[in-house]
Amino acid sequence: MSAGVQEQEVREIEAARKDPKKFAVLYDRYYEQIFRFVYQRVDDRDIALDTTQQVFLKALSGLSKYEYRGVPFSSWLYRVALNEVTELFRKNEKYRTVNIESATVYVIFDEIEEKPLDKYYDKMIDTISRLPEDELQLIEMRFFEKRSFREIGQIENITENNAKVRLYRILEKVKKLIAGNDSKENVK
Amino acid sequence: MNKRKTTIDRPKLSSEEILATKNFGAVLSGITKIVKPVYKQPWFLSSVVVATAAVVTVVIMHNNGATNTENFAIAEKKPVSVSNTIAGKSDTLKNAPFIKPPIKAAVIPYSKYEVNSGVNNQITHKSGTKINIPPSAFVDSAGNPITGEVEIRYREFHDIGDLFLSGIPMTYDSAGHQYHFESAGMIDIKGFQNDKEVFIAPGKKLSVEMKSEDKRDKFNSYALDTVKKKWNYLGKNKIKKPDAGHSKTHPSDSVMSASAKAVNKIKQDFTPKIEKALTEIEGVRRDVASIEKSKPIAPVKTDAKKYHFNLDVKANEYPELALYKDVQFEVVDDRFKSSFYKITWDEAKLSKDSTELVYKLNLRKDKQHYSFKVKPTLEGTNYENAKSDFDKKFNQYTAALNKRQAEEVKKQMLLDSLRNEMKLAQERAMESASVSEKVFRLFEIQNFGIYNCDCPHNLPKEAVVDARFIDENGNAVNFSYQGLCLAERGVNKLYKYYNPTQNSILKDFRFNPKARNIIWGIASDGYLYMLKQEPGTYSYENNKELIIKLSKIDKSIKSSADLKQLFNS
Repeated sequence: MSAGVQEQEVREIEAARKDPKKFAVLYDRYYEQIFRFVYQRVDDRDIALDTTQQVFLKALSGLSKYEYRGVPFSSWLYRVALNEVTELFRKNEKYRTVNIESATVYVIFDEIEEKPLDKYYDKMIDTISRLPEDELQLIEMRFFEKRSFREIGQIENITENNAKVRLYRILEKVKKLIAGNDSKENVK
Repeated sequence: MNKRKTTIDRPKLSSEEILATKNFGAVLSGITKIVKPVYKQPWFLSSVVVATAAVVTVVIMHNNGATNTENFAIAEKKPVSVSNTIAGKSDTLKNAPFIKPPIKAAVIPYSKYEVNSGVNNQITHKSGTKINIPPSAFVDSAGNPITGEVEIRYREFHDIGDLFLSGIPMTYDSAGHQYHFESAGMIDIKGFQNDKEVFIAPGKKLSVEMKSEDKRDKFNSYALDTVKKKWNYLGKNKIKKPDAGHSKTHPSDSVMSASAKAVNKIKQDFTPKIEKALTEIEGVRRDVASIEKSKPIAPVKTDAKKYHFNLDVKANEYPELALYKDVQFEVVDDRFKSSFYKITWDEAKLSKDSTELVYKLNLRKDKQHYSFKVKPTLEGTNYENAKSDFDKKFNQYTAALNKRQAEEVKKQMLLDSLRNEMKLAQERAMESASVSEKVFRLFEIQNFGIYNCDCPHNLPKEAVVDARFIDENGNAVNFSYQGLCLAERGVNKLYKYYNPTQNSILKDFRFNPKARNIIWGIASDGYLYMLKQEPGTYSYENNKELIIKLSKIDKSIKSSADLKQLFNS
């Protein structure tokens, strides 16, 4: 996002603070991406719809807390969305869905330099599905949502370097688990 | 861990489906209900919002009437109507034919086979591929059964040259991300009777045993949907080794062991370097972990509305409280009563809670025991001093952490590059030892068309530059229409780059400087340009300009063999 566009967005946020109806422009701009972000993590579209609406409702009500410090508004929205889905699963009412694309599984194999043999393919899916939530989030954002480290850092409120480091560690762990662990226990 | 459900390849929602669910009015009415009191009571907002927010509910190919020029022109000149803007590009993409062989004179020809539609047939192609056709397998465009002779037109594409000449897009879109196919072979099959196209009858399947030069088991089958202009995933390939009697190849033990030996040798050569890099990374990670453990904790200001205790704590038992001069302990939970202050306790013990800077205060009077959560707080100057001390220490901590994390990333990149180098060297060794090891890839088709045994990959990630292509005279070479092709020798991946700005600089050109690259393309002047001699080492800096000199090819390309000859020259 260019500096000019960013500035324009800051003005839009300011306007929405004074008049909530003006939030419509931000809602229109980010609705689809927030919906996709939520839908990636939940079981059906109705839950995704409700949660997305809730995200925007919270964003609008908490707009006064948003302060532009170089992090795009979209990243702030993603954080709100992340909290919202976490809350959804914390209540343990809904299934946390791990939506995996088979094509992307091969990209992860590429990344960890492991040959995608049939037996490893299932193991990879199993391993990813059982990663702790914070690690699964990083894998999802990097591979299934194709986000840059910079954006991941902005969403997770960590540095770009830290995002890289964490992902490398998770991939190392996935590699080790795929190579060695056949157990069905939780991946800790 | 929360309750989880794993789904594979869940159907994607289109933008239209998602946008149809938009309802800003509902969001606004949700906020309107709670915004008003906020003007009076700002603190009220967040809690009420939560409570009342009841859910509201590239290809630019052109071949039209290609006119080869006298000497060696490869494709026709660019259409003058194409705009050089990005919008122009997408318009052009929309209107451009989906499959467009770039060199008309070198289109890979079909082989023709006559089959009797009333009986079982097996076609054996010159490559060794077998196609099994059941009886009554064909219908006409109206769905009527076809009897008599049917002509099967069939062709295959196996290497980079074939893939390029096919003009078939070798990219696969998934969730808006584009992957590039590594191919273990692709087929194009059609049926005709009296030059009229016929179709596979509903419920009938042709089984294909495609001979493939790549024996690895990582490939999937995809069918090309020429209407929606995309590849559809069909499933994983089944692999069958050729019978000894049928195989003209000889994957003998000696070849296998030679390849295994070569791969092992490479592994042995790289292992010390990789282990050294791993040890270094582990060292940096330990440093990072140790720095993270020493993260300073921000002092908390005393909340006058809450209950407090003054306790003498031993500095050696609670070093984390060193910053806290004249510390008070603030009661966190609400079970505490003011009457407790009047009691002279027999015993007061502080112990650590699992939460950061929260302690358990255990009080005993006779046989009565009470336990409360407390946190250390400061007030006045003590707080200001501690905060200032904390800010200083936190800055030092962040600087040290960032420094070590940057080192970790650097070392990880070195490790990645070593592993990649080893992998490439092993692949090359395997390639030279197992070139004659062929297998059959088995899949079934229910429609005529184009099928591919592929594995999707990202663009190379080793180097990202703004590539400027020039010819041998230093003139700019522009690949804005036909695209620029990149391949790595020994790997059947064809990467295509398009340059929407129509200038000679290709932004974000990704390649592996350590691979043996083949770079070529048909420039906007209609000629084939190619990287004839790769530099020993690329001198480049990421995100900076890299000049790549290409040679204009003055040789007529009439077949895939001509192209392969060029690639190997």
